[in-house]
Amino acid sequence: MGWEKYFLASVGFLFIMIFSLSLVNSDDIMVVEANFQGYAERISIEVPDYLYLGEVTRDNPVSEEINIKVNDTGNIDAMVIPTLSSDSPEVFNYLYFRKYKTSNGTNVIPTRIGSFEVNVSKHSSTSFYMSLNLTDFNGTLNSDNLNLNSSVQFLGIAR
Amino acid sequence: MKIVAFLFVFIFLLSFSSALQIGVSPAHLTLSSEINKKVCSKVVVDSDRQITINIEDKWGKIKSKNINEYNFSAKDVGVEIFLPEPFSIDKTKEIEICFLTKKSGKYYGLISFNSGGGFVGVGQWIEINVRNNFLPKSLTMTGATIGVKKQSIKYFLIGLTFFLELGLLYLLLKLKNKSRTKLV
Repeated sequence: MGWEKYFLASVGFLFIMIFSLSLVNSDDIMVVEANFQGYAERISIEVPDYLYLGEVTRDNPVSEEINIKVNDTGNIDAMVIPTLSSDSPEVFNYLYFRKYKTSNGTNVIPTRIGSFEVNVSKHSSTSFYMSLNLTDFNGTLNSDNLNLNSSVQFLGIAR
Repeated sequence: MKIVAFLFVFIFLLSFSSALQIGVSPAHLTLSSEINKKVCSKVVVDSDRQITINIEDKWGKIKSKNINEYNFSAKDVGVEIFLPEPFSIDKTKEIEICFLTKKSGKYYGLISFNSGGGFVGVGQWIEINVRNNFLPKSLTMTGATIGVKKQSIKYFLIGLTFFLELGLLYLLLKLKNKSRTKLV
């Protein structure tokens, strides 16, 4: 009979519809997930943890000039900036830096702390010079033969 | 005797070549937020030895890579910052930093992670874009409404097909009964 065919067909269609509904209900998108590691920009520097500038006297107010090596151990280019902590003794405001001692045969004038920065490329190292020059320092210290130390911080930041 | 002397010289030189390495990832932190909505980010700090880390933050009025432009406190620029207390790290540690603002706009900061002695630190540039949540909220609502409409149409069509199918089945059953009665 004709109606039986239609009946079976519509029942079949109903089942197919319910079945396909359960398949399509995942909201039509495929989620792709991966765990990425080591791709983030990482700033990292390595600096000496102790620097001794030697003896500074009224007659000889300039310390020896020491060479400081800085490594960029991160995966981006960095700039390294020497800064002073707020509680540092005033004399350390007279720290001077220069990348090279001479350039094209002329003496490179050192830059005072606060205005000096040095660039370091990733996975490489650079060096610069630091000295203490108290020629313009008119203040006094609590006593002679004083061993002062200061927290000169070498701050590495992304360029 | 020579070996002992060499050993002494070696240890002496070793003590002078001591260096500290400290790192932070990511180097730039760019965040988007809304007014009065706390936004947080994970930061990984690492070092080559066990040290204490102190965190400091400075803020600027303009986007710059000159640290002298960062002379303001978080309070000055209207940012509430949630930083962990000084903490000890052994090789590496993941921390969370959060920010909250009461006004929309762009905020530029520099967070430095300093070693306990303070002689080495690494800085992380911060940029926070805070939207005025009035406008985006209405947009979100519009989006949601469109979403609801889309869903409604989908379910309406499914429901309609289902009921039409049931109607068809009912009619077919009725046709079956009619043909039976005709036979009787």
